[in-house]
Amino acid sequence: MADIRYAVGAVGVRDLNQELDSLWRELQDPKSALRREAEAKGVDLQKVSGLPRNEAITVRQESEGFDPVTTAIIVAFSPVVAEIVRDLWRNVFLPRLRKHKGQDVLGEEKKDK
Amino acid sequence: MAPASHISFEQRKGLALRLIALPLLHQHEARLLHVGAQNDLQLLRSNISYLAGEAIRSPNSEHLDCSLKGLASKLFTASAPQLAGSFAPRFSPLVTQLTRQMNALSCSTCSGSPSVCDGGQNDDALVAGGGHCIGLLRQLFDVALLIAQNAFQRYLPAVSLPAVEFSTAHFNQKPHDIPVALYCGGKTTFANGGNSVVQLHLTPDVLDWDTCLACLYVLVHECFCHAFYGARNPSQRDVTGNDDPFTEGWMDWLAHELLLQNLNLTQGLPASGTEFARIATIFTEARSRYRDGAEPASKHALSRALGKEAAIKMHELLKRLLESCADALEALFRLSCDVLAEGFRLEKHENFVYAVNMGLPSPGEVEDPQQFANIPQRVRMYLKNNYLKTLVT
Repeated sequence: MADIRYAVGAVGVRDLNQELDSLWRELQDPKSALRREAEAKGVDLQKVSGLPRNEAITVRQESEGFDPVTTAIIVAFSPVVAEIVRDLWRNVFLPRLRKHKGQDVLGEEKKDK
Repeated sequence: MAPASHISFEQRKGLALRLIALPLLHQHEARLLHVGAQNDLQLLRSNISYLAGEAIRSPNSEHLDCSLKGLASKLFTASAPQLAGSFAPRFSPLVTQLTRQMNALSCSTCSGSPSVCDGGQNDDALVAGGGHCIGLLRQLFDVALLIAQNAFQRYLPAVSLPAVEFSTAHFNQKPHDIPVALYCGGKTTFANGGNSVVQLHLTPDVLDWDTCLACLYVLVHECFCHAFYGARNPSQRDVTGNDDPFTEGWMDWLAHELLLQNLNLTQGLPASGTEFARIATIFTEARSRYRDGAEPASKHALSRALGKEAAIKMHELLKRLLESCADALEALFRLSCDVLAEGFRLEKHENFVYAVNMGLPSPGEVEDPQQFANIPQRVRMYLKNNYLKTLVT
């Protein structure tokens, strides 16, 4: 399952990883609103329950390029659970991040590679 | 169907304060500057900005109205030096109005029930149903939608228009690449049910009065240039994108004209029609400025400029044709609304704009009947029988 590349947005990689940590913790709580939201959107959470976050999804910068137009932020998914986590990212995590941290938290998805 | 999305609860806490403060600051500004109270005014602005930043960090357990009441009290305390200083008689009414409005906002009145925004999943529905905390933005949207709806109903009375929902979203940086210091933008999407969703983009951290004024133009642009795209078949439409010269240039030129014609509808808003018009003109001109100035041009500037140029050429043609010269602008509005409502794909919009640009003389250019015969003929046919397919091929 391919990673997803985004143009650099308003938030850096370190902050994005911190946000993901926080979202992942919330997801692991069976009573959390985030978990209910994911379940309501049909994401099968069984396979990711108890899995450490960095074994499911990570965010990194593509290169150390100076030009933010050519560098990218890569959201990578662990192959074993890639389909589920990709679903989770697109339908739950990213909308949540954009809503709470700003629409420009990440730039547009890059489709050129 | 899910309600349209709105700016998050935490951001709205700060935004609510700014949206209350900015019109009042504007209203009092000239009087305060006139007596030399610029330092006190600047201090008040800084305090408001600081408190708005503090507000977005308040916990979700604190309701928005409670947060605003707390901020009102802090603002009053922080304004003590100005309220006791030499400009106190001029300053006091401003602080009193500000704190009164901050204290007056009530979440339960807004929602009409004990259930109020708390950062949860109900918030969007509550804001859609009330949204007192972003009341100014809602007012601007209502005026913009009315302007656009009136136009389409006038020019295409037989077309039933899709419903248009209002949505808001916050950005950290300027939400567009247009070389102008106005921190708002917009986007229109089409929901599965056929409704249009107009989303206003804002950068709350740097929200200023000019940006508030610019929101009206942005919303008129979204409602007039996009919300009724494909209105004849609303369930099967898809956005044509930011590079569409017809929606982004041609229709935008008309959206600006339309706003200028309807400034009387801004009565009841906290600024005069002239102020809205001034900012709208600055914004629309910057959108299509394709030569780099102090800042680089927007990456879509050229397609906007081409669309705008085509609209102006078409207007000039309609002024020359016997069938439309009595009211060429009316004829241009009708033709343009008709093309938009048909929901042509991007390629057809591009071809149409290209054909008009190539097939009509620029203002002042000598007309060559050989070179410029085709488009006038097609336009005449359209004016005679309303047949769009001969016009947009």
